This record gives sequence, structure tokens and C-alpha cells, in this order.
Amino acid sequence: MVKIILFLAMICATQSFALADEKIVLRAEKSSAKIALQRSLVYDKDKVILGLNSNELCGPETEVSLGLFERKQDAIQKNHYDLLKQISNRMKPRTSKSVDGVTVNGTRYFLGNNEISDRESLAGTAQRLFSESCAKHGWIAKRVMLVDIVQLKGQAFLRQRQLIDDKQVSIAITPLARANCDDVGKTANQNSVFDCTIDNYGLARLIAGKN
Amino acid sequence: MICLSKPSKILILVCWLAVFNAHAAEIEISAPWQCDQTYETVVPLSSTIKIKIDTDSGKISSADLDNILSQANQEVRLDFFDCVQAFAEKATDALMSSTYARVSEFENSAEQKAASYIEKMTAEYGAKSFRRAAVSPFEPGEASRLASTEDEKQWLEHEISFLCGQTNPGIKRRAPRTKLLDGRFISENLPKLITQIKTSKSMQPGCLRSIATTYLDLLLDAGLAPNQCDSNPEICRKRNQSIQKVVSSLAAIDGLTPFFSKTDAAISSCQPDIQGTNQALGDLLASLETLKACVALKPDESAAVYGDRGSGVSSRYSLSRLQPVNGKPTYRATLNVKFVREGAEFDEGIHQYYAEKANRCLSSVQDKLRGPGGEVLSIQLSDDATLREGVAPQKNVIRIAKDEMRDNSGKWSPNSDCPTITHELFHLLGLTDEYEERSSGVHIEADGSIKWVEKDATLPKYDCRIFGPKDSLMASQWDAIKSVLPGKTITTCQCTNATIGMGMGFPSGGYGGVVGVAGSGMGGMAPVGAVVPALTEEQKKKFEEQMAELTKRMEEEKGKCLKLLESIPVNTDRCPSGTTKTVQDITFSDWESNKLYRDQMEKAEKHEADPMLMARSIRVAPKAMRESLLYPAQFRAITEPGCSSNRVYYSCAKEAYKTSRAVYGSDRCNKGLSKECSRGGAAWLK
Repeated sequence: MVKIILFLAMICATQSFALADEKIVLRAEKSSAKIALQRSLVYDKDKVILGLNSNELCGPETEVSLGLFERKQDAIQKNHYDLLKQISNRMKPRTSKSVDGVTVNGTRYFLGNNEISDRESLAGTAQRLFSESCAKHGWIAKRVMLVDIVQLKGQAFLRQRQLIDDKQVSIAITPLARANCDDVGKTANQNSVFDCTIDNYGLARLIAGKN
Repeated sequence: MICLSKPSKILILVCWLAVFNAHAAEIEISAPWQCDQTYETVVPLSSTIKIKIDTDSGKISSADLDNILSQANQEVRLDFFDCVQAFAEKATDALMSSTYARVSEFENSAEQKAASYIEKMTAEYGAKSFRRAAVSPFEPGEASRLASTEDEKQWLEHEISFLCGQTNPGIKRRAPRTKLLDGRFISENLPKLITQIKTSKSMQPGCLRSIATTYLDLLLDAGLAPNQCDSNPEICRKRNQSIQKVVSSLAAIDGLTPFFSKTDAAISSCQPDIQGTNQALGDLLASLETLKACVALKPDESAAVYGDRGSGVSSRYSLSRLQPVNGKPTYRATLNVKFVREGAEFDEGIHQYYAEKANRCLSSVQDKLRGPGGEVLSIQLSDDATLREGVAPQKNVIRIAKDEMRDNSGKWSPNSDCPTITHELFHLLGLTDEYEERSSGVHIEADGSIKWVEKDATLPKYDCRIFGPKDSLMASQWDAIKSVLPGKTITTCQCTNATIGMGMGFPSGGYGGVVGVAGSGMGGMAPVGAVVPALTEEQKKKFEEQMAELTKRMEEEKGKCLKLLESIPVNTDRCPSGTTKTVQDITFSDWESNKLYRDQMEKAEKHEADPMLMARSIRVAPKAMRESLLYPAQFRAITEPGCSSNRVYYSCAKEAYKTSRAVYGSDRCNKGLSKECSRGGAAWLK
């Protein structure tokens, strides 16, 4: 009896270890004057979690969402997961591996603990998956701040809407001049672009568009 | 047929064949297959793979891909996953970027399904090959069967010279990195490149170490796991010999010898199996990685210092070690700073104004930047043009806010004072904050909800921070600057009841102050903007009586006090009962700029009692001055960034921007910290 229990315990331990091991983390990081801009995709067995404190990889947007998103694993996500798993399988375990060489636009990519910025096709895969995550369709906002610039009576305001489990729980509107925003340039069609620091969420690169 | 040529990106020729008939539309894409191998295999070295997509039925097919994967599967001992994955990426890139301007448009398209199909095939092949414990088809040190093109050779050379700070933006990344292990490249190109780098004036310190690290990394990736060796003992032996041969070749290259000679000798004498070789290379890589972050310069060397070197703050400067001055090691840190007004274009006038201001602030402390052994540091603001190629510091853009605000290293108030400017510039040199955060954090609202605020936080953020001593530049810049400036220290006795009276105290002296008499019928002082009602005749009379009484009492107290003060001998350190001792530092610059300080100093030097303050100085002495504005660990963090000599500082500094869960953060404070951190104060800055 004891042997059976021990055997079952061993199976459970092995399985839980294997399950924990299944999680694959893809991360992009870029340093800026204010914070380390990050975006991560966590591929779990049945879901994918997207976490971001910056929309740097997606370029300036008229509406920026920062925080945590989640989606169920569909066929496309499953293929991403399987591909990343094969890449991970072939990565040699190191305590840390960093890259001295070129990084794509100063962005560094990591798969688990390993930096993959210097491996063109792997960095390309990472770039592609992050780029796909710029389209928010299919993602559930778990804990997210939606940020945009709105015009009210001729004055620009920074609007921050907090979403928990896809429901809006709070809204704050601050005159843009008083918000923690820097004018960082213009888009091709001459709209102003602002970098706005959002407390507890990160840095939003926003286009001051018309609403 | 529409053909899109994309030579600027990945040299893919993407051809779209749209075949329209009554029932279906078909898209065909082509992408190149390239597979670097040293083994003779049935898998082609290069080819073109066509993929067909039926947009109506959503069916995707590729005889070419099926064929290549079948060939790859025939080579049961070899793993072509890297080749398949590289192809998949090129094909997907073509599918995505040539058709859709926006990612959202790609979603749910036929092309996305095709990309997913290719990804699935790649993962399936990968899983099969991994289960077989197959090994990569590229033997390090052997000549690749797929000869490098001129473009690839250029790229490979650039990949090496880039590690030494030499960049050529015209070079595109076009070769797999395994090509750096090509036998011909190692024996012919690499020695020449290293010689060129060694003789180049712009060689950065540590660059040869970076090249050694890159090769170690590639060799470790080429190593085989135990299960691969069990399945393929012959290839395993061969791989071990190949890796050992490459280590010997690298050890023979002048410039790389110091990194590889010991490991080469150890491997040659012990003849370890592949796991032993991996272990030896892993140990060597770990020791080189530890050294990598450290910038330890010899005289006449320079290095660009950027990124987090261990303090948690990103550095952006270049560091030069100059010839010693009076036998002391001498360093120069250069900051490339551009000032831009918030919300405006770059304006040379604005830049010059703030650059001059920052320079003035720095010049007042330049002779106070000393290390614990008298080492010398100077800081200059400059731009790329005046610096040697290869060590130009990264540009720091500092925005000048429209209105007064709390400064940070990337944004200053329009009228920041010199101590604050100095504090912020030292952040760019990698120093972390050491003061207690009191303003921003979580504010608990009346209904119990929480709100993140920049001011008046109930629970301030960064509660893990280790504080520095009060006179540290990164703890309190004003106290720190004052601590290195000359001046006088005045010890004063002040009557304890000196606060009964009317008058003004000194600006920062802590002497008495404004007085209202509580319960006098005046109701204290009216707040600014309050409306004071007119008094009735009776109230006026009562008030005048009270004022007369107060004045009388004040005169009596003053008389007693002055008598007491005059009885104190000068140059004593004790104040008699009924008085309080105050010690105040006044710098000469305070003294020159403020009449109140000048008057105070004049009276103090004569030891005259001040009837206004009801105080008398008992000792005037030269102010004690710290020799350096920087604590030893701060000095080392700038002049030897990232080095283990500063282990304690980095261990404590890392806590500076952590917020614990107790105050709605997500960090854990004090995890694995040096004991010096918990003591706080100056212990961790020594």
C-alpha cells in the first residue's frame, strides 16, 4: 500500500513538474530614459497571458492599453506554443545568457532565461509573435489601463480607463498639460505623439488624434 | 502574376499567383530554403519552396515542403530543425508583410492560416527529430558545404568587428551565426580580423573578451546532450573532437590566447568526453560573463558605459582613464546631454542655456570628486563630435518642463537649483536614489479604495529602498553639497522662551519664529484668504490691552534673557539652563548671497547677544568639510562600473526602486541582501 501511495505521489510530482515546465515565457525589453519597456507572452497549457508596460513595439497608437491580458489557447496559439517548445527544447540550459552584439532597434528578446536577440530567425519569431499581439482582438483585459487623448471643448485631456476582467471599473481625465506626458514628435500626418507615464502601468506612446 | 521583390528585408522573392476561376481563388507563395551543413545528406543545401493556399476552402498544400521534410526525416541522426524554422520565419514574414499593412488585417486571413500551417509542420518535424535525439548537421570547425557568399562573408566579419565597437550600417544580417564556426572562417578570416581590431585605435576594452564569449556560446550550442550521445555515439565522438579542435584554433589566435589557452591545455591533457568538454567551456563562459559587466580601465583607455551595471539605474556616459595626477588614478566621465524644452523642437539657445547652467553646477564640485584613496574624477558635458570614435557616450535627452515640477533624470524644472541638477546628472552616471520616498505611492481614499498618486501618498512607493546618510548626494543633495563647501559652524545659545515675541527667524537657521499668542482673543493667525471681521470698539479696546500686556511680558523676558546670555563665557560648549544650544553651518556662498546670514555671522564673531533672536553665539569655528562629494562606493560605481569590488553597493542599490506587496507593490524587500544594507546609513557606501 505504502509503495502504491509513493508511486502515485511520484507520478503526481513528475506530472506537476512537467506541467510547470510547460510554461514558455517570451519577453521583449528595451531600455528608455524612464523605465525598462517590457512586453511578455506567457504560453501556458491552455491559455496565453500578455503583459506589457509599454506599447513601444506596436508604435504610437491612438488608444494604448497597458497591463495584463489573457486569451484561451486556440489552434493558432497552440501552433505558436508548439513551435516555441521545440525552440526551447534545443536551447542549452545556462544560468544566464546575454548578448553583446546587435539588437533589433535596441530591443532585446528573451526566451525563458536565454537572450535570443542575436539569433536572427529566433528573434524574428519573437518579433512576429509580439507584433501579432498588437492586435487586441481575442484578448480579455484582466487588469488593464486603457489610455487615450480626448478633446473636450477644444482642450486636450488624457483619459485613463481601468478595466478589470474586461469591465471598466474607473475612469480619470486629466488635462494633457497637467498629465505626466512629454511631446516626443509628430506622425507622418502631423498628429502629435506623446509619451505618457501611467502610474503603476508604464509608458504609453499616444497619438493625439481626433475623437 | 504579381511578383514582389523585397531585397531590403530578407532577400525573399515573394510571388503571388492568383488563379481565378469560377469556383476558387488560389494563392501561391515562394520562399527560399537554405540549410548549412557539413555532412553529406539528402537534404538540399538550398532550394525554393512553394506553398499553395486555396482561399475558398482554406486548404493549404506544399509538395516542396512535404518533400524536404520527408528528406529530413530520412536522415534520422541529424536534426534540421534550425533550417526548417528559419524557412518558416521567412515564409511567414513574406505572408504577413507583403499583403497587410496592419497586423489586425492579417488576423483570420487565409495567409495567417498558411503561416500557422507552416508553423505546425515545423513544430511537428521538430518534435519528431527531438524525440530521436538527432544532432545538428553542422560540425564546428569543418568547412560548410554551402559556401558563404561575399555578402555573408562581409556580415560575418561585421558581426565580429561590431563586438569591438566598429559598426557599418550598410551591412545586413544575412548569414546564420553557425557560419562563424566555419573552418575556413576560423582559420583564414578570424586571425586577420583580430589583428586588425588589435591595431585599431578605436578598440574598446573588453571587446576581445566579447569575441571569446561569442565563440564559447556557439561551441556550447554545438555541444551534444547525453541522450544525443547515447543515440549517436559516433557523431558524439566526432563532435567532441571538432569542438576541441576549434578551441585549439582559437587559442592559437593572437589576442584570443589569454581566454582559451588554459581550457585548451586542460582539454588536450585530459581528453574529456563531450560532457567534460561542455563543462570546461561552460566554466570558462561563466568566468568571462562575470567579468563582462565590469569596466576596469588602464591608463589611456576609454569605454562607453551604458545600461544597468548593477545598481538598477541605467548609465549613459563614456569613461576615460587618464594619466595619473600626483600619482593618483585619474578618470574623466563624459555625459552627452541635449536639453529640449518640453513640447518644443530642439532649440540651440535653450540647449546652450541649460548646458551652461549644468556646467556651472558641476564646476562648483569638480574638485570634490575624489575616491577613497585620493583618486580623481572629473565630469564633462560634451557631444559626440568632440569624442574619440568608438567611445562616444549615448545621448541623454533632458526635457525642460514648462512649469516647476519634481525633477527626474530625464526631465528638469525650468529653475532647478544646482544641488538638484548635480543629483540628477549623477543618475546618468549610474547612481541610485537613497532618500526616503514620501510623495508618490498609494493613497487610501475615505471609502477604503486605493488610488495611485504623485503627491500625498498614504503608503509611499519604493519602500524597499536602502537609505544613504543625510550628506550623501543621492540622499539629500542640498546637505551633500553643503558638506563639501567651506564656511563656519556657529554654536549658539538661545533663550528657551524666545518664542514669546514677534519677529522673523533666519531663513534656515531654526531660530525661533513667528508667534501668535494662543487664547489671546485674536484666534491665532487668520489663514491666507480668510475674511477677518471688523472688530467692535469693545473688542478693539480688549485687544489693545492684551497687546500692551504682551509687550510688557516680552520686555521683561527679554531683559532676563539678555542678562543670562551675557553671563555665558565665550568659547565654551555648554549652554546654561534656560537656553537651548543650536549648531548651524553657514557656507561662504550662503554668507555672500544673503544679508541675514552676513548679519548673523557678524554678531556671532563678536559674540554679541542678539536681542531680536534672544540668542548669543558661544563658538565660531571653521566648518568641517568632507573631502569628497562622493562616498567610496559611489565613486567606484562610476569609475569601475559593474565590478565585483563594489558588490555590497550593488546588492543594496538594487532595492531602490522596489515596492513591497505591503504597500500595493509586487516586490519582496531585502531578499538575499548583504548585511551592510540592513544597517543603512553610510555602511553600504564605504
